[in-house]
Amino acid sequence: MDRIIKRRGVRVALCWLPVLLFVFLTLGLSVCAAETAVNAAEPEYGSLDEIAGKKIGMITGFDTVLKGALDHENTFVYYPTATDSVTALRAGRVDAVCLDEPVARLAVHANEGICIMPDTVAEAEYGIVFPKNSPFLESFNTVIKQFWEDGTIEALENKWMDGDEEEKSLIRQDWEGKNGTIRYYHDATYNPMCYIGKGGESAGYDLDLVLMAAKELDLKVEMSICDFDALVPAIQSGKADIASGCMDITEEKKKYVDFSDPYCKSAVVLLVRDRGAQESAGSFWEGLRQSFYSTFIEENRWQMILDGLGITVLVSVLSGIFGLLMGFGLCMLRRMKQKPVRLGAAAYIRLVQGMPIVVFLMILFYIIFGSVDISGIVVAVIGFSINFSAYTSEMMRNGLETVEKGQSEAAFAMGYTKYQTFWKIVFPQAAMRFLPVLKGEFISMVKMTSVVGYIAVQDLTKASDIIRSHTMDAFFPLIATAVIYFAIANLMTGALSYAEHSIDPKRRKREVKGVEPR
Amino acid sequence: MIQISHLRKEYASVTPLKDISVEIKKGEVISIIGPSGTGKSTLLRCINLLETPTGGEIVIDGETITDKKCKIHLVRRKMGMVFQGFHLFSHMTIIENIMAGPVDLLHKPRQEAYERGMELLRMVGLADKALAFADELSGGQKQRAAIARTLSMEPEIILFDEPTSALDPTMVGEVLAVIRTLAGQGLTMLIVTHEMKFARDVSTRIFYMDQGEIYEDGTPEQIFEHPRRERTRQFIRRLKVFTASINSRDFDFIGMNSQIEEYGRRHLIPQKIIYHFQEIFEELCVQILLPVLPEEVSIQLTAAYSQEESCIQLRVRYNGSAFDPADCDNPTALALVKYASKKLEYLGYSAEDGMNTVVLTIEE
Amino acid sequence: MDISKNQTDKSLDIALAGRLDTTTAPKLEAELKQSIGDNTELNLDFAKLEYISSAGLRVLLAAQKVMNRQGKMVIRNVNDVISEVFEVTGFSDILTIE
Repeated sequence: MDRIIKRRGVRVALCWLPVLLFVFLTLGLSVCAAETAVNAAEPEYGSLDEIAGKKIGMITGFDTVLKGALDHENTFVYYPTATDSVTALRAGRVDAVCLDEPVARLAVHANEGICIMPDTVAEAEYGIVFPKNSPFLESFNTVIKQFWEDGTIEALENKWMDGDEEEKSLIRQDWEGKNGTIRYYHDATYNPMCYIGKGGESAGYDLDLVLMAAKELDLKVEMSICDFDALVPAIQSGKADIASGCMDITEEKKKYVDFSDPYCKSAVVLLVRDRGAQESAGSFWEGLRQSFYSTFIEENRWQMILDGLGITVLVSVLSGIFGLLMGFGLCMLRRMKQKPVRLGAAAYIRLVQGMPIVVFLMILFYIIFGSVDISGIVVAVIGFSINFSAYTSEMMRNGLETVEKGQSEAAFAMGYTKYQTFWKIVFPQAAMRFLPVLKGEFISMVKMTSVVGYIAVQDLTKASDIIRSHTMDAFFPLIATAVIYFAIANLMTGALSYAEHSIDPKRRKREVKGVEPR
Repeated sequence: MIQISHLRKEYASVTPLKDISVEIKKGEVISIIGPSGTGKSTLLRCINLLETPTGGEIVIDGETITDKKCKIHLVRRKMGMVFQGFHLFSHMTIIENIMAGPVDLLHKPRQEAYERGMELLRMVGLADKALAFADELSGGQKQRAAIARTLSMEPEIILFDEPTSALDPTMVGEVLAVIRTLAGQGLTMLIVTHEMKFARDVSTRIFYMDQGEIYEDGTPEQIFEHPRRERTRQFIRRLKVFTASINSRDFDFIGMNSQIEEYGRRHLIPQKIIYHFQEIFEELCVQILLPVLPEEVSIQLTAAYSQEESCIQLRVRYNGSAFDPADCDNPTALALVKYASKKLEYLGYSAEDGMNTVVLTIEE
Repeated sequence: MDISKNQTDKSLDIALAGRLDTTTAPKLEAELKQSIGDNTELNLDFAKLEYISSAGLRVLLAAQKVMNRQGKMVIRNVNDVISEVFEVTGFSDILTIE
């Protein structure tokens, strides 16, 4: 017995070995790559002409501006967050990255080996986003105009772009809010404009500005974090009354939403690699220690990771349970005698299986529940439950079909009712067959929940995105996230395998329960 | 106990049961025999409503089960069924299979169900397999366990649906032995079987079924010795044919011998005749013919048994050049062949298909 | 076929059970070759033998020849069926059957 336990221990250890190797290798590479020292900035590409024909990375929305500024053909590569695009630049995947100036400055500050190209791409003006014909547009414009005049804007710039870290917190909502509440969606990966600051609190220029304007108008603000790409859909669907996130005022966007007057004048710039940077002799462990510190310890960021992990587990487990129940229901419908019922269930399964989960979630959140005040977590659970049910119902059906007809005939002949036959004879045998497949499907769903950031849910992946945007250290948080996913996936696999073994009759003790053998 | 009147079962393309009316009394042991595809199993499955009849009425113990209002699962508890394919519950041990019914349906205490279950297992000789799973048992053991499971519900009626048809010939005996012991215990039994000797021995009554009806109904003596109707007579007295061929020097000798034994048991052929058949097969085919035949050996055996004359007509055809077994250089084997057959005749060699033919008659 | 043997001072007792035919005769042949040695007495018990074929008879004949040289061989408890086989093949004249 001892030996079995020992052997299992060895097996578990062996299974983690490649993971550790992978982590060390990638960390080593990343930290070494980061260990460069700065002399004078020597941009790899000095002007817009030099960048001709090169690959340019960006988040969506910059392409129109860029096309106007560059009179040559370039390849554009799109990234979900500014941090990702900076990472890509450092890794050599793209030759330049297009960013708003404040963000670019922060990136240069946090990452060695990159600098801002002296040529700017364009002047930019950021506006707050409103739905078409919003009652708030007019009043906000008045306040913004007033802010420009009375120096509030300047004070904000000083506070957020240069100021002391200690001062970087939002004003308190200590006004009454006589004129009601507005729902405000903002991006949180755009330091210093909108990001997650100390202790996991939302912070940034954009947010501060909106709060101050709301104070003037005596409106309460209900803030939600949302992916940049989903801001416009959130406004269109009516989920949000206003939104912001360094959103460029462009003619194209004006077709769908309204913009306030600009509240911030900035520039669109290109980040390029800095040839002046040199390899430095910093130690691997020191680099690792720093990355670990800035990712987890500084400003208690581990709290954010932990909260994100909680959301990931919550969404996975709830979706697993509801998906299983719904899947069972669907499976029963598929086995009904009535053909329309069967066809209906089959169509439902086809439809769900044929849609990417991200698209499905966005449709649920922004269209179907567009006008309902509902938490993103609930929508995520609904979406994943529906998705999971489609797969589990098919697995259960296949499992039930493998139980031969003779088994139920034998039970009927003994006097079991239909109901008893199903639950005592057929289902336990089917469960033995579909559980292993179900386990795999559940684990892949756990990993799939990483897309819930699209519907304003802050899960593990989103938390790591936010931290990356803050530290601009791309590698360590990614690897750490991967390891955490690996760990929870493994724990859950272990738990499900235990459940699976406990119902497998061949593995349980050969004895008759509740009986004194004679 | 069971009254069946004008029972009919039809599908879109076939009508396995045309018009069955019969009354079965308590304690009767009835074997249902007849050619395959004549509705024997369908009749059995209609009696416990595994098949829904399309017409007629079945009354069991005063309860009209063909009535829509009948709670069939309650009637089925008094009526066990043993299937051709055993159908032991594969997720339970053997003892749990046997305890399941009494515990789940009759709400007996587990201890009582266990003790009764072990008693039944001892009766069918499987007490040591109580904690085994069905897939760890041989076919014969599975069927004995299935019979024990049926008995655990303490039924008044047991329906046997070809209980030995899926078994290896070597295991038929053990299952028939168990059924034989049950036959004397006052249970009402209906047995669909192809084991004629068994049917004649254990039954109090035989149904000969043909073309979807009970064509003749009588005592074993009447059906087997003096059938009154033409088709029964044909079925009982029909020449019972056995064919086999040997196409390799490494053919399965032991398998062939058990096939011959099985043939004998099926058709109630006297043991002495089968013994002689085996002797001839071994001496003529293996000892005399195999050594002289070409590498690509081909021997065909056709045996036909006639009950009336109590003899087997055996025709042996083999390839190679013209060869009369009487000319062989194995006098011992030849002596045995001659001893075992009443008549041995070499019919000659046919150049057309390159085969020799020998015919023999085997008697007691 | 089952073979059980019992060796006592220069005397070998062998009991056969089952069928002595084409497939089982070589087994008996090998057993005799190994055990016969310089025994002066070989006793074969056929009480449980059900069937014998010419292949089996050949093995008995070979054993008889060996024992003729160094002692004697006796076959006991032969049933009717096998006795008839010995009769029709002329073996009853060659073998000592008690």
